Parts: sequence; structure tokens; C-alpha cells
Amino acid sequence: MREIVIPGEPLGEANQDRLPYGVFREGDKLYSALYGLVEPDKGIRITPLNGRYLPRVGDVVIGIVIMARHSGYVVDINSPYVGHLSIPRHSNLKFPRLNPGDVVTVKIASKNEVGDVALESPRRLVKGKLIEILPTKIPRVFGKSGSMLDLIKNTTGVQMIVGRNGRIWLRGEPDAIIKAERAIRFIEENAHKYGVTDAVKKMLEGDI
Amino acid sequence: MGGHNPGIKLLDKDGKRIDGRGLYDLRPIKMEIGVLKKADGSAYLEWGGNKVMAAVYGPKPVMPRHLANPYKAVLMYRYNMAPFSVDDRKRPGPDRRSIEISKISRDALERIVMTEYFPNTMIEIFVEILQADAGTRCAALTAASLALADAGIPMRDLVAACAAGKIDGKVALDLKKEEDNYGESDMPLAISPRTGDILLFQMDGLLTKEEYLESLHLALEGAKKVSEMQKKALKDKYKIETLGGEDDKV
Repeated sequence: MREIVIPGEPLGEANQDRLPYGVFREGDKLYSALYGLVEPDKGIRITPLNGRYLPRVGDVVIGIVIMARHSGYVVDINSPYVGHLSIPRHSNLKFPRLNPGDVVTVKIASKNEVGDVALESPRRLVKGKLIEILPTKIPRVFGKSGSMLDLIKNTTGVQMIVGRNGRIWLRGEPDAIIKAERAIRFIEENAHKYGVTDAVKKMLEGDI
Repeated sequence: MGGHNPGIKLLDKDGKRIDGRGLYDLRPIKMEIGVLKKADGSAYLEWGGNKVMAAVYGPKPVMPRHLANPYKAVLMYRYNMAPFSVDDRKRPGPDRRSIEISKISRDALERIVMTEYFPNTMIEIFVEILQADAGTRCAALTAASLALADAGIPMRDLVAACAAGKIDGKVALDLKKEEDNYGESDMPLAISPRTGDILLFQMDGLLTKEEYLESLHLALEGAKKVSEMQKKALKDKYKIETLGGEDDKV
């Protein structure tokens, strides 16, 4: 059963060394640091209700090029930190030529404790529509092993790329994009509730 | 305090205050969370005649850049009174008083916001006093902590604040404007309710040692009541229900 926790709320006894994000220890007790959801029967993990995207190595995100430098590009990744995409000096892969304003999917290659983020494997996204939702709701857009994403893609026929940083790129027929976007907004609004997959299914199939 | 009392009786013969409250009663408080669409987190608070709007932005890149701290996030707090918030128009912009309140409120929040999670960033908190009726710094801090929670910023606790003071020779909780202006003392207090730590504490006017201790305990109790209201407001914002069909899991 899902429950809402607020900052400073006790979460039980501490019997683990590594604590998940948003949990802190004082004495031998654990407390929540976030306003979010917990499922006590599934262990101590807090799903925040809101919050900025914090880069994690390996995440695929959608970035917007801010500017070009001699060695690469500065990319906005919808996070407190900007990403640096450097052009490899020796590479057989074709590296795209980018301009400020271009939308790219990139992978977080590395990051350090002061917030320098390195990016890799850029792919430019052309045409389509870019929307932004709360980054904390992205796991719900994917669903269990991608089920929600498949549902939206299959029923609307829209191509989708979902970035962990809350940006979603949609490409397809204009009507289908509107429909997919409506479904995504619905998921974002109702992410804390149960039965979202069925509601989305009904919503998408009802409109056909 | 403030000035001389032009013969206003703050307590009637039954011991009731000018708005009909007892000595140990809070004014009615209303809290709303997530009222501003463009802010990362926001809260609106009505506390008696006080109307306060708080907005939180961030964590975000630090501006100006030289303020950046590679060990933790920089916290910025702006307490501002709208020109129309008081009876005589207030000259807009920061003044001696609001700069002081901003500073002490920021210091209070720095104790509980986990700034070490976000090095080289900044968290901005704006609190706008739309209508003032004494106790605005307490109302502002209470609203700011709700807005911070709404923004998804990790905190060790919420901040709850309340004032106590002395009117017509008696110690009383949560003074309103007339009581603040013509009473003998005012004591705003902000606490971290979980640990009971005091985060902000000021006093104006004169109290004996006994009155001081009574006032302090009264303000502590008041802040704890405020804290319960904050918790309820946060818990009630999201309703966990099932949309039509069967349960599904994240």
C-alpha cells in the first residue's frame, strides 16, 4: 500500500549501510527527507513527488544544445547542472555537427561530486515535438518493464523517446501526437494513484 | 511595544482578547500547497489577517557564479512586504527590517535543508507578504518550509513557527497587530518539531524571567500545533486512490 511521507517522518530502524536517496539516519532511526511516496512492504525507498533531475551515469536524457565550444558542446539537460558533450579526437563514428537550439538524445558518460557532467553518444532529433514533464514521473511513463510506453506507442502509432530528465520527444501524425501527449499528461497528474495503466488504456482506445 | 498605548484595552474583563480569543489560542490558519504553476514548489498561507505566498525555485545553476559553493547548495531567501500589505503604504523594496528577516529566516532554513545534496547549485525562496497582521516572519517561514517540501528538496524536518508575547500584563500566544503594537512584548520562534531544536528566536520588549519562560513554552506549543497543521496539509494534498479498475504497481 502506498503512503505519503513528509520530511522528518520516521521510517523505522536502521539496519542497512547504504541508504537510498531521500532517506537519512539519526542515531539508529531512519527518517524521510522528502515529500514523497513509500511502499513499506517493498522496503525503504522514497519516490519523490517533485524535484529536479539529478544526472546518473548511464541515463539516456534529451538535451538542448546551448552553445558550441572548440572541443565540444554545452548541453542543457533540464537539471541543476549542464552537460558537456566533447567531440572525440579519434573516432570512426560519425559525430553530428550541432548548433545551439538543436535537440539531442545523449547518454550520461560520467559525473563527479561537484556537478561536472560528461555526455556521450549524441543523436540529433529532427522533426517531432518535445514535451517536458516532472522528471520524478518518468518511471510511470515507462511502466513495468516498459508496458505503459509500449501501450502508448502501439495504440497511437507515435514514435517516442523518453529521457530520464523529464523530456519526451514525440514524432508521428499530429492527431496521434496530441493523443499521446494527453495520455502522458494524465499519467503525470495521476502518477501516485493505482490503476493508471487501465485508465490510460481506456482513454486511448475510447478515442479511436 | 512600538509606541505608547492610547488607552486601548487588549483584554476585556473576561480575559478575552480583542478578536475574542483566549490567551492561549492561535488565529485560524489555512494552508494551500502547490498554488503557483511556474514555481518548482509553492504554498499559500492565511494566518488570521496575514496572507503569505511562498515560492521555491531550484536547485538551479548559481547566479552570480562567484557565489557558488562546491560543497553545498546556496540558499537564498527573500522576505518582501507588498506595498499594500499594511495600512500606510509601505515603500516598495528591501529595507532594514526585511533584510534582517530574510537573513535570519535563511539561517533557520540552512539548518534543515540538506544543501550538501546539491553542490554548486542554488535554491531560491521568495516569500511575499500580501497582507500583514503581525507575526509575518513566522507565517513566512511556515509557508516557505511547505513550499520547499513541495519542490521536492530534501530536508531534515519541516519548520514550524509561532510567536508569543505579553499584552496587558498577561503572556499570550500569537499576537495580532493591535496586540503587537500596543502590547508589552513579542517573541517569534521557529522550531524543528521533530527534534525540538530552535531555529529562530527573537524578542522585543521587556519580560521578567518567569514571563520569558512562560512565553517561550507557549510559543513552543503554538509552533507544534502549527506543525501538525503543516503535516495535515501535506498529507491531504495527494489522494491515493484507484482509478476505476484493478490495482497496478509501479
